[in-house]
Amino acid sequence: MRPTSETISRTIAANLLTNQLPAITDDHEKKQVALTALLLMLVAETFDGTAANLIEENQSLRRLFSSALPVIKDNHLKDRVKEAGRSTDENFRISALDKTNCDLLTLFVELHTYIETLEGPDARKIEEAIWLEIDNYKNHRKFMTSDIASSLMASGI
Amino acid sequence: MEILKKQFISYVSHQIPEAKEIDIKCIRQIFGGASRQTFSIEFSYTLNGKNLSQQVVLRREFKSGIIDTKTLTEWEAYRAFQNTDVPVPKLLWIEQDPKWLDTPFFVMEEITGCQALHYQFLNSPYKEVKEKAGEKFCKIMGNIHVKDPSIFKPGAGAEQTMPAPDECWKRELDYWEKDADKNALRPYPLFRSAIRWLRRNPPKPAQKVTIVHGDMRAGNFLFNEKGEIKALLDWEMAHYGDPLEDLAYSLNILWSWNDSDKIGLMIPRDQGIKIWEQTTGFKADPESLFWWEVFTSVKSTAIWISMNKTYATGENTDLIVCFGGIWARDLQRRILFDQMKEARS
Repeated sequence: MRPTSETISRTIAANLLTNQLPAITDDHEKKQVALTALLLMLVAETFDGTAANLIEENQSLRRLFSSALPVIKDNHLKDRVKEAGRSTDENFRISALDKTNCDLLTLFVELHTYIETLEGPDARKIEEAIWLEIDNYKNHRKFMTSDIASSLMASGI
Repeated sequence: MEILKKQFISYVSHQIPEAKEIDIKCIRQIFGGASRQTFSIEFSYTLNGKNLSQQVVLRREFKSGIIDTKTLTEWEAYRAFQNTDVPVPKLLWIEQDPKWLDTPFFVMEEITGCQALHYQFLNSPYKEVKEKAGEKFCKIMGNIHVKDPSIFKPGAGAEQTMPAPDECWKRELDYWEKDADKNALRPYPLFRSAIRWLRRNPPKPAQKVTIVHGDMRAGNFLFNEKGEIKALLDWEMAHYGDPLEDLAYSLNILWSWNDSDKIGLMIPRDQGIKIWEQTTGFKADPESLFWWEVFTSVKSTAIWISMNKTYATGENTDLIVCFGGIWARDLQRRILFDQMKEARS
């Protein structure tokens, strides 16, 4: 579709901030318009990259699962981690990728909890890999719009 | 708003039976909070031949509150601190019967000539008084913590018993983990790892079990252009606990994002901690304080998670609930990641 959803959202947000907002005097109305613009900016920011981020994240989690297999002594957990490590994304709709991401992350939390109970350098190595994954998770959900919002609040909106 | 006007006039008549010609001069909703509806109401009436008017704040619960708060707890906290060195609004009425305004509510006098938006400390004229306000804020916090806790009775439904000094941390952590479990829309690996770290590394026992405000931060007090703090607000999460919880909560960088070494954009954190120590006589043990700062990130995250759920399920579709939940989750996640990095080092 042209223009893209991203362009439409971003343009409407810019219009609200530069044209509508300065003309509004009522404090409540000002806040509502600013919030609307910020939410549209958020939609624009996440629209293009969401699918790629989810695919990358799912693949990275699977690689981590496969690398963790040698240190897992709990057979039930090991079987589930092994199966998850072999899985692939078949449906590339965002809703489907997101559901798979949630399933993988649920297992990831369980694996992390388990690894924390283990001694030894191999477990620590996996734990470092887990924290790298958490860092990526955080960065995928870091929005420029959040920082813009903080600046807007600082300017009194 | 017309329905609310009629309902409120009816209630005033109930509370002041001798009042005649009750009229609402002005009513407006005050936006910003996500757990209550708040209105500013100016009304007039005649009493014994005299024309009187009052400016009040009405706080009423949403039908679906975002956090598990109790109107009565907030009322009881305000009542406990009336006419003390912890400034709170003057209370008028509390009503549990939904027949008047559809949900429980209370009414207090409105404090005028002030504002709550702490981002104003970045701009004149408030920039010039931010130090004064910051010092006052930390002193007031200390004043809360030296009060006899028995002056405050949490509302029905809230935890009534006082925890032992070594139980304070667990009671709060259990509560907020359970709250997040109830509201989670997806897994939160960083959040869960922080909870496990908190459980494995409990803080020292509380030096004293005190009243804890529970939401002690910039944005929750009214201040004026002279830097005076006229009222501390939003007491719905007040409880008995470790006063370090409030101190740590006040240090949350989320509320000082544009100037992160300050408390709520006001004064440097070391200065604020010192004022609190001098006021209370307590020591802010660095390791325990760090624990409570990580806890602050966990508790705050649980609150943002509940906001996300409330919007996602359609219970509350206010824009502030949507954006606030997302914005705060993002920034708090960054803060918590850095805290866990420090914890692991």
